[in-house]
Amino acid sequence: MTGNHEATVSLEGLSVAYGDERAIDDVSFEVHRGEIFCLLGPSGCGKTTTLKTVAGLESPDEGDVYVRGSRVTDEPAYSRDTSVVFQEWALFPHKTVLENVEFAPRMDGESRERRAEEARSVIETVGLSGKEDAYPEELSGGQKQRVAFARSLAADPSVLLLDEPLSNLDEGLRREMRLEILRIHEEFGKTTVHVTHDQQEAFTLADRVGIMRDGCLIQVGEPSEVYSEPKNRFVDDFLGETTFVEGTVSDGCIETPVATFAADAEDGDVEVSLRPEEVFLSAPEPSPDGGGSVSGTGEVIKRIDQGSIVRYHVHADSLEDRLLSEYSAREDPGFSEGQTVSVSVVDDPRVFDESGRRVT
Amino acid sequence: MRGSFRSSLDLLYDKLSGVSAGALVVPFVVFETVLFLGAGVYLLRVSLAEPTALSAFEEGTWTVSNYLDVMTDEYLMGRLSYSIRLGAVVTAVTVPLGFVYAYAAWRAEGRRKITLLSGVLVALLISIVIKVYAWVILLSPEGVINRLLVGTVTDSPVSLLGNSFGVVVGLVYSMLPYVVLTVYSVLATLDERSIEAARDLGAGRLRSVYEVVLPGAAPGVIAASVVCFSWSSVAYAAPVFLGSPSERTVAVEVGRLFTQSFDWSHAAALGVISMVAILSTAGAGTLTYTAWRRYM
Repeated sequence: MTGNHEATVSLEGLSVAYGDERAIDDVSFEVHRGEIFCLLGPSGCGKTTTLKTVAGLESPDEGDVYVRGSRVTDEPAYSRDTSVVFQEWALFPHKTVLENVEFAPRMDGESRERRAEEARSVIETVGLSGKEDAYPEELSGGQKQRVAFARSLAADPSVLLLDEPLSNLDEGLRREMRLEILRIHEEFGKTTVHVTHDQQEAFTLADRVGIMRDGCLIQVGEPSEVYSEPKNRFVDDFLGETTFVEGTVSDGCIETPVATFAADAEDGDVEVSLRPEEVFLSAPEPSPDGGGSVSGTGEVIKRIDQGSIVRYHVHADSLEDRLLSEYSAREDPGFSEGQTVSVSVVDDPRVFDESGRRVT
Repeated sequence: MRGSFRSSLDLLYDKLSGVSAGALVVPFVVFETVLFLGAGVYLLRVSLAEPTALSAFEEGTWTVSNYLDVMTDEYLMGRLSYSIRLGAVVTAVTVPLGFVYAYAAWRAEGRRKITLLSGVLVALLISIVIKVYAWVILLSPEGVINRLLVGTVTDSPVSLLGNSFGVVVGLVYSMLPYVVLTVYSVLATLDERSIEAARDLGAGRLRSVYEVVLPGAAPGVIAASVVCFSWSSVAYAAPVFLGSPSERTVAVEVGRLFTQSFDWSHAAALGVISMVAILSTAGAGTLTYTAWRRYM
């Protein structure tokens, strides 16, 4: 995060259609200088199309793209001040690592010595010294990934566009590369738009996230803000595992099979979202301070020990869906499967009406 | 009955899957050896036999005089040189044209891609003789093209037939499908996104093709050039129907020696010499191209 909130990229009312199908619909947002902005959404939500429109690889049917204040909507990709790190990296297979990385400076017409020097320095920064003369096919996934970053960085763009660059790596490498992206970002300070369907990835990297669905941008905000104050049921559901419990509102009270909540809402049917960290289990005797509204008993169906955290699947009485409850390993109450427990939940959960809109 | 058929199929499959891929090409290699190599050896043998007026060649004799005769024959060597130049011109026209066509087909999607590809496939289905005659109708002094030209562009018919122009047009047309399909098959293995990447990194449309597509397509371009060159330099139908006697290729001369003079020995010698000359020209071209690519 930089203090300077000048918009480096801004999209205004962007729409792209393929035939009758709208890939993205009236998308507008701004990316501040130096920040990492993550577009997050399920596959097919239009996030990659949005990114390609910023790069100039896709032209919008409506709306405008601005990079550093100037309108670039009609400028071709090669003259835009942006660079994409592609999903499968799209390295040039017939060029060596050095030739790949010095491609952009070469297109800029820089001298042979100058561009080789620049390329070598970027290659060193991404930790690939010694691999300059290797061909992409001789590299591992993680190394190819680094070459792709180096190639884009060597173009020295104002905006770096990352199109799910980690989706081809296995879990361990992905975690390592996330930190690597942060390190590179710190070193180069590039304004970055990152597209991903992986919530963890977005939350690790992003200064701000934009949640997309069906071609529309639904909510933009800092990760913690979007997580704790989702605008609608979709965002709540997408950002973490949760159980939706049906309830009814009457006289400022939400009745659910699990618990009753006070709520300032209109009468009608609602759904209450209960995340694993919002459901508490205790020994069957009603405890004096349960940490929330006590709601009766349930049975532990499954205990999943994931090492650092422990998760319980609980079948609460009078509820069809199972509730999830999560504890850190240190605070694990240590129930076993089949045991009857007392279930309580937070007293201010997120509530959505029938159309999925946030009520409270 | 059916069950046992099934199980014997399974058995065959099991047996085959144990066989290495190399072994599977054995039938093909045997076929090629017998038909191509066998015929080649026979041709070589005939070219080394003494000619005789009584039959095709004198069996059991050995001589190199046929080669000397052919190589000192100014007319035949002139035909050989013409053939190679013709092949070079046809290749120089067809390969760039075919590359552009194949590139368009590769980048196109849906119906347009199917239309472009079936266009060349349909051209392959038509017999060479019919294709050549179609050009006769188009190019002749009273043909379609001249009828359009006379009165609008020129006063008298332009001679498009009976010269090298007609031969080149006919050959380019018949070679184009082979070039397009050869180049396309290689392009299809390339990653289209590397073009996007090149454009994103500052390369214009042509530059990105030159930088990214051409190196990847090189094997296809080379193969297509070799095929185009070696086929068009020994073309038979197009030179005969669309050209005049001065457009005769070596293939036409070999045919004349075989069938009209009944002089198999000299015909075979001319055949062997042409083959060597054309293959070495194609080889030299390929080497030059690869060296140039590497230097770039």
